[in-house]
Amino acid sequence: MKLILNKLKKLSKASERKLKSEMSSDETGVIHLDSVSHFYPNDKFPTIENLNLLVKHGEFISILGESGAGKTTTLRMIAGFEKVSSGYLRIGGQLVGSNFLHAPPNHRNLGVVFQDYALFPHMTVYKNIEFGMDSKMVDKTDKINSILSMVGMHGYENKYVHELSGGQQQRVAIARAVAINPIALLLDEPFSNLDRILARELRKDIKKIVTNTETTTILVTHDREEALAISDRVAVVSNRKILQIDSPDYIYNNPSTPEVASLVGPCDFIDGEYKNNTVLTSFGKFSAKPLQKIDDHQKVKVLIRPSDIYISNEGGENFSNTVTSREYRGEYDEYEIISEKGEVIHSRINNFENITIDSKVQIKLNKNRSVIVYKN
Amino acid sequence: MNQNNLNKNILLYNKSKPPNLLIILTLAIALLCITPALYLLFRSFEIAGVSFLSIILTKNVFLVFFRTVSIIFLVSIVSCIVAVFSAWVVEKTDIPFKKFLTLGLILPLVIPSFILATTVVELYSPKGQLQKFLSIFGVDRLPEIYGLPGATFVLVIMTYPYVFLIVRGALRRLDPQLLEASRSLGYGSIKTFFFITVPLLRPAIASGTLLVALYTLSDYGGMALLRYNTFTVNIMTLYDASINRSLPSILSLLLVFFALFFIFIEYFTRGKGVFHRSTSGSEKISKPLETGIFKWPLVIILFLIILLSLITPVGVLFYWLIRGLINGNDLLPLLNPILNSLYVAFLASFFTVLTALPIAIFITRYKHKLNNFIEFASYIGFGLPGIVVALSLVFLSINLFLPLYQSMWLLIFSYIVLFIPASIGSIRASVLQVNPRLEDAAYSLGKTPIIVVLRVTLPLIMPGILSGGIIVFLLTLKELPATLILSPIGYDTLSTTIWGAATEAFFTRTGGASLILILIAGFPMAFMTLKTTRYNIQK
Repeated sequence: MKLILNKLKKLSKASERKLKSEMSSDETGVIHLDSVSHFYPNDKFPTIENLNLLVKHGEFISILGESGAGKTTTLRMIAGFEKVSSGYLRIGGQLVGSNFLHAPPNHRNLGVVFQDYALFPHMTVYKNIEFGMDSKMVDKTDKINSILSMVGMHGYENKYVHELSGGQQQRVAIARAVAINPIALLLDEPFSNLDRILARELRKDIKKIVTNTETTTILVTHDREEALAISDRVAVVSNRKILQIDSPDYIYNNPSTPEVASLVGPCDFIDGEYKNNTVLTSFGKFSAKPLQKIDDHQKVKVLIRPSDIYISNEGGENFSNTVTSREYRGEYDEYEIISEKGEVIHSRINNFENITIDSKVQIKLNKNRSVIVYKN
Repeated sequence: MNQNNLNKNILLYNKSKPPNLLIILTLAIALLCITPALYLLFRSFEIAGVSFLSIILTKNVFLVFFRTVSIIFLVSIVSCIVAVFSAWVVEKTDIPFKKFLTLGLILPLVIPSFILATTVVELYSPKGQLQKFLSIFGVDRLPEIYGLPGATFVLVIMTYPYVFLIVRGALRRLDPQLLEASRSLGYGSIKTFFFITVPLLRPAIASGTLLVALYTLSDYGGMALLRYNTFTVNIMTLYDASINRSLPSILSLLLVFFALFFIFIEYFTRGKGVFHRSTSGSEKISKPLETGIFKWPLVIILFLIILLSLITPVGVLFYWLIRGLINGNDLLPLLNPILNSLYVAFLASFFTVLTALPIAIFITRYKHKLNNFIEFASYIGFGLPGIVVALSLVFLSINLFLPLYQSMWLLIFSYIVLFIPASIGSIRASVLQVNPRLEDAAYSLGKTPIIVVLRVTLPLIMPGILSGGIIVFLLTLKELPATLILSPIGYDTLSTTIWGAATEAFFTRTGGASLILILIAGFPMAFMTLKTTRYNIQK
């Protein structure tokens, strides 16, 4: 017992020392989750299972998933608020969490930004930012002022938290996290309490700040648009596991499973028969891209992205697909089309054709696009 | 801040394990709180079972039981009607002088029952001041005030403010949209009151009623002065006579069972209360009900309640004081009791808050298998009459810790046991309002747990700690039976001085000391009422 305690003390001291110094060897990564699992003592299922993730220096990674997928727990575990139940969590190459070791959050030097801001209501903006900084720092006021200008909150230092709007509070929260020169920034749904326009604006600003300062960042979000827009890589999480980690455009165009596909964008799935890079469906024949080897004449699941689908009614009555609804969405119209077999897909196109409900249409893929097919 | 988020955060936290030090600390405090009740039980087992039954099955005990039940019943009903009516009027209608009336309705809280009782005798006894006034109309004798009527009157005055506070709080948290929905569905304002407002207030009314019942059960001063022989009065009389020690302790045990019965009811109704509280969110401002021609009659009714419960008692006290001063009595002998009262009340507040703090944090922040026990143990003082705690501690100290007997620390201990539930209530409310994410944020900024507690948690829950302390201060000043039994010989506080003077009919001294006590207790109370709107006062 005593031995373990001593070991723990030594390790956490060592980790602290090392973490403070600049650590960024690319092989180990800034943050490394090595088959990490987490479970609460009395729960049947783990909250996270066998997670592997390597975050490189200066990288912006999003963890995307629906609520309950375990993404917030992952972040809280990296921050040190939850203990690692099995596996190894390393920060800056140093082990900080495993089933025998837990470095407390105050020894990890990570900047955490919370969904509900978590600004101290009894302190001013200035005091909030100063809170985590080294008290012996010489030019502290200058540093705070420059951080405040960076997040666009210059001149607000003497305001109290309740005097600020939601967006302003989140800017201060970011300033507070950045002020401690963190090894990495952890953002837990930072935009979800803000309205869309404000969120987009703040998102761009954050991206600019972390790019300029080369800050390694992990963002947890349920908003796919947000994750795709801001990240270098996206980790899609579902059901306590990471399903795929890749760059936004790769993951959108090559989702490894149907589940990933539906998490990163709107989609429909229909049945088809594969043959030599084409697939035959009830809507017609499309050029197809299998992600693994598929034999000819095999039954497959076909992923249809509404933005890839183009419809036309030129040529008259002999098409077998029927338009069942049409919604005006501003930049595009969304059509719902039903095949003879009763399968449903959607199409997003600009309304030049003025296709009405109940008209028979032909389905085509947009130029240079192909559909993804999965083994059934 | 979004209420749902907050609840989610707290739920998340419930899963984490409390620090061992906190578990040990809360467990120790809980065990201390439960000691008096346990000791009483233990002693009663020592006395043989046969004599136990032969004592409690006598006609006298039966009569006492009947008297106690009937006054609890009467006081609860009248108090609730007065409180619900007046709380609804000041919260939901457009009458003028709301702030003034609210203050007037709450302030009787600071007048102890024994002071009220002396003024009631002066005013309403068959040949009292009211009769003198009515003699102009040819009334030469009023009906007897001693016994049930007088005791009920005093207890209603002293308990309705508690119900008023609870119901007022519930009314404030009531979502006005529910009332608007009812109106939009065709219900008038009276129908809405009876079909929507009252049912929604039911948990608040229930916990208020139980508070009244427990208070009535444990009151000693008022009942004794008005010669209404309940359990509590009976126990004190037997103890004073000190012929037989086992008799009072057996009756005390009966009293505890009586009180436990109420605690259990309270415990179960509180579950419903949580539902009620969780709908709070931000306070929405509702449009007050227009009362039209009833506006002034309503004001007059409320004013009459204040006149009976606050203005006339204080008036009588002034009358006594002035009469005494004219007759050449001076107030200098009161200096010592004042200082003693302040000293002991300060100590009691300090130590009660200190012990309440870990318990409040433990039961709000963690879900632990000990939670139920700790909550029950710390809550037990809520149902224990002061006299029971005091007697148990007397026997305990005589038999086991003689040096503690007649010491100040035993007195403070009894106050902690009695008043810790009230301060836990108020601290707990403020802990619940602190988002645990704030502490997480502080940790992530590199601060150690001690720094986090000192710079984040404590400053944020300070309002709750302060109001918890003020409540204990007030309750200690007013407390009579435990103070009478446990205070060191020759150590007079304001309440024991008033008691001594009142029982020997030295009305001048009663008047002066009572007014000073009311002033000392009234200022923080008025301050709290005007400043904050939400705090839990219990017992």
